[in-house]
Amino acid sequence: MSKKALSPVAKIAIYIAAAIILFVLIPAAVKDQPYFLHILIITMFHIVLGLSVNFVMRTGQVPLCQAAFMGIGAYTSTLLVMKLHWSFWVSFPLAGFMGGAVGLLIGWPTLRIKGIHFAMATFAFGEIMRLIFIAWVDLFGGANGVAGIPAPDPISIPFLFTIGFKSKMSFYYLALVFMIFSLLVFYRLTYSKIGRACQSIEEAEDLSKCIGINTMYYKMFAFTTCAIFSALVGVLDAHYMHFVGPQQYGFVNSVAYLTFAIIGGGALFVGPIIGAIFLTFLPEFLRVTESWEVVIYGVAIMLTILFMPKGITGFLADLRPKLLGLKQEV
Amino acid sequence: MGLLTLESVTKHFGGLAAVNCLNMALEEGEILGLVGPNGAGKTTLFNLISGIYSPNSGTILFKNKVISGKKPHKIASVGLARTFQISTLYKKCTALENVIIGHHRQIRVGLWDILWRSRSFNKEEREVERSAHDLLTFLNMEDFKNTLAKNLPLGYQHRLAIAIALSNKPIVLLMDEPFAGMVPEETIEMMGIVRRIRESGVSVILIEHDMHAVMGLSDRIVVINYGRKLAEGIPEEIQNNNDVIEAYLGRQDDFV
Repeated sequence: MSKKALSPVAKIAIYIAAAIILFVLIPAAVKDQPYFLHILIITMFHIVLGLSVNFVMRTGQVPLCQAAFMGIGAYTSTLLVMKLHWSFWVSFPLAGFMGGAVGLLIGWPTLRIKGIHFAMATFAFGEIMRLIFIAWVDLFGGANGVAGIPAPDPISIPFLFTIGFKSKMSFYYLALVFMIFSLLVFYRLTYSKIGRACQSIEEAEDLSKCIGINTMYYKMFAFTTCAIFSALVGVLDAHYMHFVGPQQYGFVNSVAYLTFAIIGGGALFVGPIIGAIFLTFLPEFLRVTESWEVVIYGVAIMLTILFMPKGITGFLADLRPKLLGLKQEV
Repeated sequence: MGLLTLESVTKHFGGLAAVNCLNMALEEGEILGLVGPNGAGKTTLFNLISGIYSPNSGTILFKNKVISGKKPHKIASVGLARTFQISTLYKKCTALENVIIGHHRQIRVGLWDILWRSRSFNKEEREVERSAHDLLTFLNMEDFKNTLAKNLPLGYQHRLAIAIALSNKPIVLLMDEPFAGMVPEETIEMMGIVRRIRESGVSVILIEHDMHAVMGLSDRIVVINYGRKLAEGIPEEIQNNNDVIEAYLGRQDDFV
Protein backbone atom coordinates (compact mmCIF):
# COMPACT_ATOMS: atom_id res chain seq x y z
CA MET A 1 0.00 0.00 0.00
CA SER A 2 2.95 2.32 0.28
CA LYS A 3 3.72 4.72 -2.49
CA LYS A 4 7.10 6.03 -3.46
CA ALA A 5 7.38 9.79 -3.56
CA LEU A 6 8.46 11.23 -6.90
CA SER A 7 8.98 14.89 -7.60
CA PRO A 8 6.11 16.44 -9.60
CA VAL A 9 8.43 17.22 -12.50
CA ALA A 10 9.66 13.63 -12.72
CA LYS A 11 6.05 12.43 -12.58
CA ILE A 12 4.97 14.66 -15.47
CA ALA A 13 8.05 13.60 -17.46
CA ILE A 14 7.14 9.93 -16.95
CA TYR A 15 3.53 10.55 -17.99
CA ILE A 16 4.61 12.39 -21.15
CA ALA A 17 7.13 9.68 -22.03
CA ALA A 18 4.51 6.96 -21.49
CA ALA A 19 1.98 8.89 -23.59
CA ILE A 20 4.45 9.28 -26.46
CA ILE A 21 5.36 5.59 -26.36
CA LEU A 22 1.75 4.40 -26.21
CA PHE A 23 0.14 6.89 -28.60
CA VAL A 24 2.94 7.50 -31.12
CA LEU A 25 5.87 5.09 -31.02
CA ILE A 26 4.06 1.76 -30.62
CA PRO A 27 1.43 2.50 -33.31
CA ALA A 28 4.22 3.65 -35.65
CA ALA A 29 6.22 0.50 -34.99
CA VAL A 30 3.40 -1.97 -35.56
CA LYS A 31 1.61 -0.07 -38.34
CA ASP A 32 2.30 -2.78 -40.91
CA GLN A 33 1.96 -5.73 -38.57
CA PRO A 34 -1.76 -6.29 -38.02
CA TYR A 35 -1.12 -9.49 -36.08
CA PHE A 36 1.06 -7.73 -33.51
CA LEU A 37 -1.44 -4.89 -33.29
CA HIS A 38 -4.12 -7.47 -32.56
CA ILE A 39 -2.05 -8.92 -29.69
CA LEU A 40 -1.62 -5.43 -28.24
CA ILE A 41 -5.36 -4.79 -28.27
CA ILE A 42 -6.07 -8.14 -26.60
CA THR A 43 -3.36 -7.39 -24.03
CA MET A 44 -5.08 -4.15 -23.10
CA PHE A 45 -8.39 -5.99 -22.65
CA HIS A 46 -6.61 -8.51 -20.47
CA ILE A 47 -4.99 -5.81 -18.34
CA VAL A 48 -8.41 -4.38 -17.46
CA LEU A 49 -9.75 -7.88 -16.72
CA GLY A 50 -6.76 -8.65 -14.51
CA LEU A 51 -7.18 -5.40 -12.60
CA SER A 52 -10.88 -5.94 -12.01
CA VAL A 53 -10.55 -9.53 -10.82
CA ASN A 54 -7.70 -8.50 -8.54
CA PHE A 55 -9.86 -5.78 -7.03
CA VAL A 56 -12.27 -8.48 -5.84
CA MET A 57 -9.42 -10.75 -4.70
CA ARG A 58 -8.19 -7.96 -2.43
CA THR A 59 -11.28 -8.54 -0.31
CA GLY A 60 -10.27 -12.19 0.05
CA GLN A 61 -12.86 -13.60 -2.35
CA VAL A 62 -11.99 -15.48 -5.53
CA PRO A 63 -14.66 -15.04 -8.23
CA LEU A 64 -14.94 -17.58 -11.05
CA CYS A 65 -17.53 -15.82 -13.19
CA GLN A 66 -15.70 -12.94 -14.81
CA ALA A 67 -16.17 -14.32 -18.31
CA ALA A 68 -19.92 -14.52 -17.66
CA PHE A 69 -19.97 -10.78 -16.92
CA MET A 70 -18.06 -10.19 -20.17
CA GLY A 71 -20.69 -12.25 -21.92
CA ILE A 72 -23.52 -10.26 -20.36
CA GLY A 73 -21.89 -7.04 -21.58
CA ALA A 74 -21.15 -8.42 -25.03
CA TYR A 75 -24.63 -9.88 -25.65
CA THR A 76 -26.40 -6.82 -24.23
CA SER A 77 -24.56 -4.45 -26.53
CA THR A 78 -24.86 -6.80 -29.50
CA LEU A 79 -28.63 -7.05 -29.10
CA LEU A 80 -29.09 -3.31 -28.56
CA VAL A 81 -27.02 -2.46 -31.63
CA MET A 82 -28.20 -5.20 -34.01
CA LYS A 83 -31.84 -5.69 -33.00
CA LEU A 84 -32.77 -2.19 -31.84
CA HIS A 85 -30.19 -0.34 -33.98
CA TRP A 86 -29.02 1.79 -31.10
CA SER A 87 -25.72 3.59 -31.28
CA PHE A 88 -22.67 1.80 -29.87
CA TRP A 89 -21.98 4.82 -27.68
CA VAL A 90 -25.33 4.31 -25.94
CA SER A 91 -25.14 0.53 -25.74
CA PHE A 92 -21.56 0.59 -24.37
CA PRO A 93 -22.36 2.26 -21.03
CA LEU A 94 -25.74 0.52 -20.84
CA ALA A 95 -24.07 -2.89 -21.17
CA GLY A 96 -21.67 -1.91 -18.37
CA PHE A 97 -24.67 -0.91 -16.30
CA MET A 98 -26.29 -4.27 -17.07
CA GLY A 99 -23.14 -6.10 -15.92
CA GLY A 100 -23.15 -4.07 -12.71
CA ALA A 101 -26.83 -4.81 -12.07
CA VAL A 102 -26.32 -8.56 -12.49
CA GLY A 103 -23.18 -8.27 -10.32
CA LEU A 104 -25.23 -6.71 -7.52
CA LEU A 105 -27.90 -9.37 -7.86
CA ILE A 106 -25.41 -12.26 -7.75
CA GLY A 107 -23.14 -10.63 -5.17
CA TRP A 108 -25.96 -10.05 -2.66
CA PRO A 109 -26.41 -13.74 -1.77
CA THR A 110 -22.99 -15.18 -2.77
CA LEU A 111 -20.71 -12.69 -0.98
CA ARG A 112 -22.09 -13.87 2.37
CA ILE A 113 -20.18 -17.11 1.92
CA LYS A 114 -16.43 -17.39 1.86
CA GLY A 115 -13.48 -19.19 0.35
CA ILE A 116 -14.07 -22.23 -1.82
CA HIS A 117 -17.84 -21.99 -1.33
CA PHE A 118 -17.92 -18.52 -2.87
CA ALA A 119 -15.73 -19.71 -5.73
CA MET A 120 -18.10 -22.64 -6.36
CA ALA A 121 -21.20 -20.41 -6.24
CA THR A 122 -19.75 -17.97 -8.79
CA PHE A 123 -18.54 -20.90 -10.91
CA ALA A 124 -22.11 -22.22 -10.97
CA PHE A 125 -23.47 -18.79 -11.91
CA GLY A 126 -20.93 -18.48 -14.74
CA GLU A 127 -21.81 -21.86 -16.18
CA ILE A 128 -25.54 -21.12 -15.90
CA MET A 129 -25.01 -17.92 -17.90
CA ARG A 130 -23.06 -19.84 -20.55
CA LEU A 131 -25.83 -22.45 -20.80
CA ILE A 132 -28.45 -19.71 -21.12
CA PHE A 133 -26.43 -18.19 -24.00
CA ILE A 134 -26.45 -21.61 -25.68
CA ALA A 135 -30.04 -22.60 -24.94
CA TRP A 136 -31.87 -19.37 -25.74
CA VAL A 137 -31.33 -19.64 -29.48
CA ASP A 138 -33.83 -16.96 -30.57
CA LEU A 139 -32.21 -14.25 -28.50
CA PHE A 140 -28.55 -15.20 -28.22
CA GLY A 141 -28.06 -17.25 -31.38
CA GLY A 142 -27.32 -20.50 -29.54
CA ALA A 143 -24.01 -22.31 -29.88
CA ASN A 144 -23.25 -20.49 -33.15
CA GLY A 145 -23.33 -17.12 -31.44
CA VAL A 146 -23.95 -13.89 -33.29
CA ALA A 147 -21.73 -12.84 -36.17
CA GLY A 148 -21.46 -9.61 -38.11
CA ILE A 149 -21.49 -7.25 -35.15
CA PRO A 150 -20.73 -3.80 -36.51
CA ALA A 151 -17.72 -1.76 -35.44
CA PRO A 152 -18.43 1.18 -33.11
CA ASP A 153 -20.16 4.10 -34.86
CA PRO A 154 -17.79 6.79 -36.02
CA ILE A 155 -17.53 9.88 -33.88
CA SER A 156 -17.93 12.95 -36.03
CA ILE A 157 -17.42 16.50 -34.95
CA PRO A 158 -19.04 18.70 -37.63
CA PHE A 159 -16.66 20.68 -39.88
CA LEU A 160 -13.62 19.30 -38.02
CA PHE A 161 -13.04 15.58 -38.32
CA THR A 162 -14.58 12.14 -38.15
CA ILE A 163 -13.05 9.22 -36.28
CA GLY A 164 -14.06 5.85 -37.61
CA PHE A 165 -13.41 2.57 -35.83
CA LYS A 166 -13.36 0.23 -38.79
CA SER A 167 -9.58 -0.14 -38.90
CA LYS A 168 -7.51 -2.07 -36.38
CA MET A 169 -5.38 1.00 -35.70
CA SER A 170 -8.35 3.13 -34.69
CA PHE A 171 -9.52 0.35 -32.40
CA TYR A 172 -6.08 0.31 -30.81
CA TYR A 173 -6.62 3.93 -29.78
CA LEU A 174 -10.11 3.19 -28.49
CA ALA A 175 -8.84 0.28 -26.39
CA LEU A 176 -5.91 2.39 -25.18
CA VAL A 177 -8.12 5.23 -23.99
CA PHE A 178 -10.42 2.73 -22.28
CA MET A 179 -7.48 1.00 -20.61
CA ILE A 180 -6.02 4.29 -19.32
CA PHE A 181 -9.44 5.25 -17.97
CA SER A 182 -9.73 1.88 -16.19
CA LEU A 183 -6.19 2.12 -14.79
CA LEU A 184 -7.00 5.53 -13.37
CA VAL A 185 -10.25 4.35 -11.78
CA PHE A 186 -8.73 1.23 -10.21
CA TYR A 187 -5.59 3.06 -9.05
CA ARG A 188 -7.58 5.78 -7.35
CA LEU A 189 -9.99 3.32 -5.77
CA THR A 190 -7.12 1.14 -4.51
CA TYR A 191 -5.30 4.03 -2.85
CA SER A 192 -8.27 5.44 -0.96
CA LYS A 193 -10.44 4.50 1.98
CA ILE A 194 -12.31 2.13 -0.33
CA GLY A 195 -9.19 0.20 -1.30
CA ARG A 196 -7.97 0.12 2.29
CA ALA A 197 -11.33 -1.15 3.53
CA CYS A 198 -11.39 -3.87 0.85
CA GLN A 199 -7.89 -5.01 1.70
CA SER A 200 -8.57 -5.00 5.43
CA ILE A 201 -11.41 -7.49 4.98
CA GLU A 202 -9.09 -10.18 3.70
CA GLU A 203 -6.73 -9.93 6.65
CA ALA A 204 -9.02 -9.55 9.67
CA GLU A 205 -12.70 -9.24 8.86
CA ASP A 206 -13.94 -9.08 12.48
CA LEU A 207 -11.48 -6.30 13.29
CA SER A 208 -12.66 -4.37 10.22
CA LYS A 209 -16.28 -4.70 11.34
CA CYS A 210 -15.39 -3.46 14.83
CA ILE A 211 -13.69 -0.31 13.53
CA GLY A 212 -16.88 0.54 11.69
CA ILE A 213 -16.27 -0.84 8.19
CA ASN A 214 -19.42 -2.19 6.58
CA THR A 215 -17.63 -5.22 5.16
CA MET A 216 -20.60 -6.49 3.15
CA TYR A 217 -20.91 -3.09 1.44
CA TYR A 218 -17.26 -3.10 0.38
CA LYS A 219 -17.39 -6.69 -0.85
CA MET A 220 -20.43 -5.75 -2.95
CA PHE A 221 -18.68 -2.62 -4.17
CA ALA A 222 -15.60 -4.55 -5.32
CA PHE A 223 -17.65 -7.33 -6.94
CA THR A 224 -19.92 -4.89 -8.77
CA THR A 225 -17.01 -2.78 -9.98
CA CYS A 226 -15.40 -5.95 -11.32
CA ALA A 227 -18.67 -6.88 -13.05
CA ILE A 228 -19.02 -3.44 -14.67
CA PHE A 229 -15.50 -3.34 -16.07
CA SER A 230 -15.64 -6.97 -17.22
CA ALA A 231 -18.89 -6.21 -19.06
CA LEU A 232 -17.32 -3.12 -20.68
CA VAL A 233 -14.38 -5.21 -21.89
CA GLY A 234 -16.89 -7.74 -23.20
CA VAL A 235 -18.59 -5.02 -25.26
CA LEU A 236 -15.32 -3.79 -26.77
CA ASP A 237 -14.23 -7.34 -27.50
CA ALA A 238 -17.52 -8.15 -29.26
CA HIS A 239 -17.41 -5.05 -31.46
CA TYR A 240 -13.73 -5.63 -32.19
CA MET A 241 -14.02 -9.31 -33.13
CA HIS A 242 -17.45 -8.69 -34.78
CA PHE A 243 -18.58 -11.93 -33.14
CA VAL A 244 -19.96 -13.26 -29.85
CA GLY A 245 -20.29 -16.92 -28.98
CA PRO A 246 -20.98 -18.80 -25.74
CA GLN A 247 -17.68 -20.70 -25.78
CA GLN A 248 -15.78 -17.46 -25.08
CA TYR A 249 -17.56 -16.94 -21.80
CA GLY A 250 -17.01 -20.22 -20.00
CA PHE A 251 -15.13 -21.31 -16.93
CA VAL A 252 -11.75 -21.71 -18.66
CA ASN A 253 -11.63 -18.04 -19.57
CA SER A 254 -12.62 -16.95 -16.07
CA VAL A 255 -9.71 -18.98 -14.72
CA ALA A 256 -7.38 -17.44 -17.32
CA TYR A 257 -8.23 -13.92 -16.12
CA LEU A 258 -7.72 -15.05 -12.54
CA THR A 259 -4.31 -16.33 -13.58
CA PHE A 260 -3.20 -12.80 -14.58
CA ALA A 261 -3.65 -11.65 -11.00
CA ILE A 262 -2.15 -14.78 -9.41
CA ILE A 263 0.94 -14.90 -11.63
CA GLY A 264 1.49 -11.15 -11.66
CA GLY A 265 1.01 -10.93 -7.92
CA GLY A 266 -2.02 -9.32 -6.35
CA ALA A 267 -0.42 -7.31 -3.57
CA LEU A 268 1.05 -4.64 -5.83
CA PHE A 269 -1.06 -2.54 -8.18
CA VAL A 270 1.16 -3.39 -11.18
CA GLY A 271 0.91 -7.14 -10.47
CA PRO A 272 -2.11 -8.01 -12.62
CA ILE A 273 -0.84 -5.67 -15.36
CA ILE A 274 2.49 -7.52 -15.56
CA GLY A 275 0.65 -10.85 -15.34
CA ALA A 276 -1.71 -9.93 -18.19
CA ILE A 277 1.12 -8.76 -20.45
CA PHE A 278 3.26 -11.81 -19.67
CA LEU A 279 0.51 -14.37 -20.19
CA THR A 280 -0.85 -12.77 -23.35
CA PHE A 281 2.52 -12.56 -25.04
CA LEU A 282 3.92 -15.90 -23.84
CA PRO A 283 1.62 -18.21 -25.84
CA GLU A 284 2.05 -15.97 -28.90
CA PHE A 285 5.83 -16.16 -28.74
CA LEU A 286 5.73 -19.89 -28.18
CA ARG A 287 3.45 -20.04 -31.25
CA VAL A 288 1.09 -22.59 -29.81
CA THR A 289 -2.52 -23.27 -30.65
CA GLU A 290 -5.37 -22.21 -28.42
CA SER A 291 -5.81 -25.61 -26.81
CA TRP A 292 -2.21 -25.53 -25.57
CA GLU A 293 -2.77 -22.11 -24.05
CA VAL A 294 -4.71 -23.71 -21.21
CA VAL A 295 -1.80 -26.06 -20.55
CA ILE A 296 0.63 -23.14 -20.43
CA TYR A 297 -1.62 -21.28 -17.98
CA GLY A 298 -1.85 -24.39 -15.81
CA VAL A 299 1.90 -24.93 -15.74
CA ALA A 300 2.47 -21.21 -15.12
CA ILE A 301 0.10 -21.29 -12.12
CA MET A 302 1.83 -24.35 -10.65
CA LEU A 303 5.31 -22.89 -11.07
CA THR A 304 4.24 -19.54 -9.66
CA ILE A 305 2.56 -21.01 -6.59
CA LEU A 306 5.54 -23.27 -5.93
CA PHE A 307 8.36 -20.80 -6.46
CA MET A 308 6.84 -17.31 -6.32
CA PRO A 309 3.77 -17.42 -4.06
CA LYS A 310 3.49 -13.63 -4.18
CA GLY A 311 3.57 -13.62 -7.99
CA ILE A 312 6.18 -12.13 -10.31
CA THR A 313 5.99 -8.63 -8.86
CA GLY A 314 5.95 -9.82 -5.25
CA PHE A 315 8.97 -12.01 -6.01
CA LEU A 316 10.90 -9.12 -7.57
CA ALA A 317 9.94 -6.75 -4.74
CA ASP A 318 11.27 -9.24 -2.19
CA LEU A 319 14.37 -9.88 -4.27
CA ARG A 320 15.41 -6.28 -4.80
CA PRO A 321 16.24 -5.36 -1.19
CA LYS A 322 18.36 -8.50 -0.98
CA LEU A 323 20.28 -7.58 -4.12
CA LEU A 324 20.89 -4.08 -2.87
CA GLY A 325 22.00 -5.42 0.49
CA LEU A 326 19.24 -3.58 2.30
CA LYS A 327 17.24 -4.78 5.25
CA GLN A 328 14.85 -7.39 4.00
CA GLU A 329 11.55 -6.23 5.50
CA VAL A 330 11.74 -4.19 8.61
CA MET B 1 -28.04 4.56 34.66
CA GLY B 2 -24.62 3.61 33.36
CA LEU B 3 -22.98 4.57 30.10
CA LEU B 4 -23.11 0.96 28.95
CA THR B 5 -25.70 -1.30 30.56
CA LEU B 6 -26.26 -5.02 30.16
CA GLU B 7 -29.67 -6.25 31.23
CA SER B 8 -30.05 -10.00 31.81
CA VAL B 9 -28.00 -10.80 28.70
CA THR B 10 -27.93 -14.47 27.73
CA LYS B 11 -26.07 -16.27 24.94
CA HIS B 12 -26.33 -20.00 24.28
CA PHE B 13 -24.06 -22.07 22.06
CA GLY B 14 -26.05 -25.23 21.56
CA GLY B 15 -26.87 -26.39 25.07
CA LEU B 16 -24.09 -24.38 26.69
CA ALA B 17 -24.92 -21.02 28.22
CA ALA B 18 -21.73 -19.05 27.58
CA VAL B 19 -23.28 -15.95 29.13
CA ASN B 20 -26.20 -16.53 31.46
CA CYS B 21 -28.57 -13.76 32.55
CA LEU B 22 -25.81 -11.26 33.18
CA ASN B 23 -26.43 -7.75 34.54
CA MET B 24 -23.69 -5.18 34.68
CA ALA B 25 -23.07 -1.51 33.99
CA LEU B 26 -20.13 0.66 33.07
CA GLU B 27 -20.15 4.18 34.52
CA GLU B 28 -18.71 7.12 32.62
CA GLY B 29 -14.97 7.66 33.13
CA GLU B 30 -14.51 4.32 34.83
CA ILE B 31 -12.08 1.46 34.33
CA LEU B 32 -14.05 -1.73 34.90
CA GLY B 33 -12.05 -4.94 35.32
CA LEU B 34 -13.65 -8.11 34.01
CA VAL B 35 -12.06 -11.25 35.42
CA GLY B 36 -12.90 -14.91 35.64
CA PRO B 37 -11.36 -18.30 34.97
CA ASN B 38 -10.71 -19.46 31.40
CA GLY B 39 -13.94 -20.19 29.56
CA ALA B 40 -16.00 -18.08 31.94
CA GLY B 41 -17.54 -16.15 29.04
CA LYS B 42 -15.54 -12.92 29.13
CA THR B 43 -14.63 -12.80 25.46
CA THR B 44 -18.14 -13.94 24.49
CA LEU B 45 -19.40 -10.94 26.45
CA PHE B 46 -17.16 -8.63 24.38
CA ASN B 47 -18.39 -10.28 21.19
CA LEU B 48 -21.96 -9.63 22.35
CA ILE B 49 -21.31 -5.98 23.18
CA SER B 50 -19.46 -5.31 19.92
CA GLY B 51 -22.12 -7.06 17.85
CA ILE B 52 -20.11 -10.02 16.53
CA TYR B 53 -22.77 -12.17 18.25
CA SER B 54 -26.26 -11.09 19.14
CA PRO B 55 -27.71 -12.20 22.48
CA ASN B 56 -30.45 -14.86 22.70
CA SER B 57 -32.22 -12.71 25.26
CA GLY B 58 -31.65 -9.54 27.23
CA THR B 59 -30.66 -6.09 26.05
CA ILE B 60 -27.47 -4.07 25.84
CA LEU B 61 -27.91 -0.30 26.18
CA PHE B 62 -25.34 2.30 25.23
CA LYS B 63 -26.23 5.84 26.29
CA ASN B 64 -29.75 4.53 26.94
CA LYS B 65 -30.13 3.32 23.35
CA VAL B 66 -30.46 -0.38 22.53
CA ILE B 67 -27.43 -1.65 20.60
CA SER B 68 -27.89 -5.40 20.99
CA GLY B 69 -28.75 -7.07 17.71
CA LYS B 70 -27.20 -4.31 15.61
CA LYS B 71 -24.39 -4.97 13.14
CA PRO B 72 -20.80 -4.49 14.41
CA HIS B 73 -20.08 -1.53 12.11
CA LYS B 74 -23.21 0.23 13.39
CA ILE B 75 -22.15 -0.33 16.98
CA ALA B 76 -18.65 0.94 16.18
CA SER B 77 -20.17 4.09 14.72
CA VAL B 78 -21.92 5.07 17.98
CA GLY B 79 -18.60 5.14 19.83
CA LEU B 80 -17.72 1.62 20.95
CA ALA B 81 -14.29 0.25 20.11
CA ARG B 82 -12.58 -2.96 21.06
CA THR B 83 -9.32 -4.84 20.81
CA PHE B 84 -9.07 -8.55 20.22
CA GLN B 85 -7.28 -11.31 22.02
CA ILE B 86 -3.91 -12.42 20.56
CA SER B 87 -3.53 -9.08 18.77
CA THR B 88 -5.74 -9.30 15.72
CA LEU B 89 -4.10 -6.86 13.32
CA TYR B 90 -3.63 -6.24 9.60
CA LYS B 91 -0.40 -8.21 9.68
CA LYS B 92 0.75 -7.50 6.12
CA CYS B 93 0.50 -3.72 6.57
CA THR B 94 2.84 -1.39 8.42
CA ALA B 95 1.93 -0.01 11.84
CA LEU B 96 1.07 3.37 10.32
CA GLU B 97 -1.11 1.77 7.63
CA ASN B 98 -2.93 -0.22 10.32
CA VAL B 99 -3.87 2.97 12.14
CA ILE B 100 -4.83 4.69 8.87
CA ILE B 101 -7.22 1.78 8.10
CA GLY B 102 -8.60 2.31 11.60
CA HIS B 103 -9.51 5.88 10.62
CA HIS B 104 -12.00 4.58 8.05
CA ARG B 105 -15.01 6.22 9.66
CA GLN B 106 -13.21 9.54 10.10
CA ILE B 107 -12.96 9.91 6.31
CA ARG B 108 -16.09 11.51 4.95
CA VAL B 109 -15.33 12.02 1.24
CA GLY B 110 -17.54 10.30 -1.31
CA LEU B 111 -16.80 8.21 -4.37
CA TRP B 112 -16.63 11.25 -6.63
CA ASP B 113 -13.93 12.91 -4.49
CA ILE B 114 -11.95 9.67 -4.50
CA LEU B 115 -12.10 9.27 -8.29
CA TRP B 116 -11.48 12.94 -8.96
CA ARG B 117 -8.79 13.31 -6.26
CA SER B 118 -10.50 16.51 -5.16
CA ARG B 119 -9.03 19.02 -2.75
CA SER B 120 -11.11 17.72 0.16
CA PHE B 121 -9.84 14.20 -0.57
CA ASN B 122 -6.20 15.30 -0.31
CA LYS B 123 -6.92 17.36 2.78
CA GLU B 124 -8.59 14.47 4.57
CA GLU B 125 -5.83 12.02 3.64
CA ARG B 126 -3.24 14.41 5.11
CA GLU B 127 -5.29 14.89 8.27
CA VAL B 128 -5.72 11.15 8.73
CA GLU B 129 -2.01 10.54 8.31
CA ARG B 130 -1.21 13.22 10.87
CA SER B 131 -3.77 11.83 13.30
CA ALA B 132 -2.34 8.31 12.82
CA HIS B 133 1.15 9.64 13.63
CA ASP B 134 -0.23 11.34 16.74
CA LEU B 135 -1.82 8.12 17.94
CA LEU B 136 1.40 6.15 17.47
CA THR B 137 3.21 8.87 19.43
CA PHE B 138 0.56 8.66 22.16
CA LEU B 139 1.37 4.95 22.49
CA ASN B 140 5.15 5.56 22.40
CA MET B 141 5.65 3.56 19.23
CA GLU B 142 6.42 6.23 16.65
CA ASP B 143 9.74 4.48 15.88
CA PHE B 144 7.89 1.40 14.66
CA LYS B 145 5.57 3.19 12.22
CA ASN B 146 7.09 1.59 9.12
CA THR B 147 7.40 -1.89 10.62
CA LEU B 148 5.06 -4.55 9.31
CA ALA B 149 2.56 -5.47 12.01
CA LYS B 150 3.55 -9.15 11.91
CA ASN B 151 7.17 -8.23 12.70
CA LEU B 152 6.34 -6.08 15.73
CA PRO B 153 7.35 -7.33 19.19
CA LEU B 154 4.32 -8.72 21.03
CA GLY B 155 4.02 -5.77 23.40
CA TYR B 156 3.89 -3.38 20.48
CA GLN B 157 1.30 -5.52 18.71
CA HIS B 158 -0.94 -4.99 21.74
CA ARG B 159 -0.28 -1.25 21.55
CA LEU B 160 -1.01 -1.15 17.84
CA ALA B 161 -4.33 -2.91 18.45
CA ILE B 162 -5.15 -0.15 20.93
CA ALA B 163 -4.09 2.55 18.46
CA ILE B 164 -6.42 1.08 15.81
CA ALA B 165 -9.30 1.02 18.31
CA LEU B 166 -8.60 4.59 19.43
CA SER B 167 -8.47 5.90 15.86
CA ASN B 168 -12.25 5.56 15.75
CA LYS B 169 -12.49 8.17 18.56
CA PRO B 170 -14.46 5.88 20.89
CA ILE B 171 -16.38 6.73 24.06
CA VAL B 172 -16.00 3.21 25.42
CA LEU B 173 -13.02 0.95 24.80
CA LEU B 174 -13.21 -2.80 25.39
CA MET B 175 -9.74 -4.30 25.89
CA ASP B 176 -9.30 -8.06 25.65
CA GLU B 177 -6.17 -9.13 27.56
CA PRO B 178 -3.85 -6.26 26.62
CA PHE B 179 -1.25 -7.52 29.11
CA ALA B 180 -1.01 -11.07 27.76
CA GLY B 181 2.56 -12.31 27.40
CA MET B 182 4.21 -9.16 28.70
CA VAL B 183 7.28 -8.86 30.89
CA PRO B 184 6.88 -6.76 34.10
CA GLU B 185 8.41 -3.60 32.62
CA GLU B 186 6.04 -3.74 29.66
CA THR B 187 3.12 -4.30 32.02
CA ILE B 188 3.98 -1.15 33.95
CA GLU B 189 4.21 0.87 30.73
CA MET B 190 0.92 -0.55 29.50
CA MET B 191 -0.75 0.34 32.79
CA GLY B 192 0.37 3.92 32.20
CA ILE B 193 -1.15 3.80 28.71
CA VAL B 194 -4.50 2.51 30.01
CA ARG B 195 -4.56 5.29 32.63
CA ARG B 196 -3.81 7.90 29.95
CA ILE B 197 -6.61 6.55 27.78
CA ARG B 198 -9.02 6.99 30.70
CA GLU B 199 -7.71 10.50 31.35
CA SER B 200 -8.44 11.37 27.71
CA GLY B 201 -12.12 10.73 28.48
CA VAL B 202 -12.57 7.14 27.35
CA SER B 203 -14.29 4.64 29.64
CA VAL B 204 -12.65 1.22 29.64
CA ILE B 205 -13.69 -2.38 30.22
CA LEU B 206 -10.63 -4.52 30.73
CA ILE B 207 -10.47 -8.31 30.49
CA GLU B 208 -7.27 -9.46 32.12
CA HIS B 209 -5.67 -12.41 33.84
CA ASP B 210 -2.74 -10.39 35.17
CA MET B 211 -4.14 -9.77 38.67
CA HIS B 212 -1.51 -7.21 39.52
CA ALA B 213 -2.51 -5.08 36.54
CA VAL B 214 -6.24 -5.53 37.00
CA MET B 215 -6.21 -4.77 40.72
CA GLY B 216 -3.98 -1.76 40.18
CA LEU B 217 -6.01 -0.24 37.36
CA SER B 218 -9.67 -0.99 37.95
CA ASP B 219 -12.08 1.23 39.82
CA ARG B 220 -14.46 -1.69 40.05
CA ILE B 221 -14.19 -5.35 39.20
CA VAL B 222 -16.80 -7.80 37.96
CA VAL B 223 -16.01 -11.49 38.34
CA ILE B 224 -17.82 -13.96 36.11
CA ASN B 225 -17.79 -17.73 36.13
CA TYR B 226 -19.81 -20.13 33.95
CA GLY B 227 -21.37 -17.08 32.29
CA ARG B 228 -22.83 -15.76 35.55
CA LYS B 229 -21.78 -12.85 37.68
CA LEU B 230 -19.99 -14.20 40.72
CA ALA B 231 -19.02 -11.00 42.47
CA GLU B 232 -18.77 -7.26 41.93
CA GLY B 233 -16.99 -4.57 43.88
CA ILE B 234 -13.83 -2.56 44.41
CA PRO B 235 -10.55 -4.49 44.08
CA GLU B 236 -10.08 -4.99 47.86
CA GLU B 237 -13.52 -6.56 48.22
CA ILE B 238 -12.85 -8.92 45.35
CA GLN B 239 -9.50 -10.02 46.74
CA ASN B 240 -11.18 -11.12 49.99
CA ASN B 241 -14.31 -12.62 48.46
CA ASN B 242 -14.59 -16.32 49.29
CA ASP B 243 -16.62 -17.19 46.18
CA VAL B 244 -13.93 -15.71 43.96
CA ILE B 245 -11.12 -17.51 45.73
CA GLU B 246 -13.12 -20.71 45.40
CA ALA B 247 -13.68 -20.21 41.65
CA TYR B 248 -10.00 -19.67 41.01
CA LEU B 249 -8.43 -22.11 43.47
CA GLY B 250 -11.19 -24.62 44.17
CA ARG B 251 -12.96 -25.34 47.44
CA GLN B 252 -10.89 -26.47 50.40
CA ASP B 253 -12.74 -29.78 50.82
CA ASP B 254 -12.04 -30.62 47.11
CA PHE B 255 -8.54 -31.48 48.15
CA VAL B 256 -9.52 -33.71 51.03
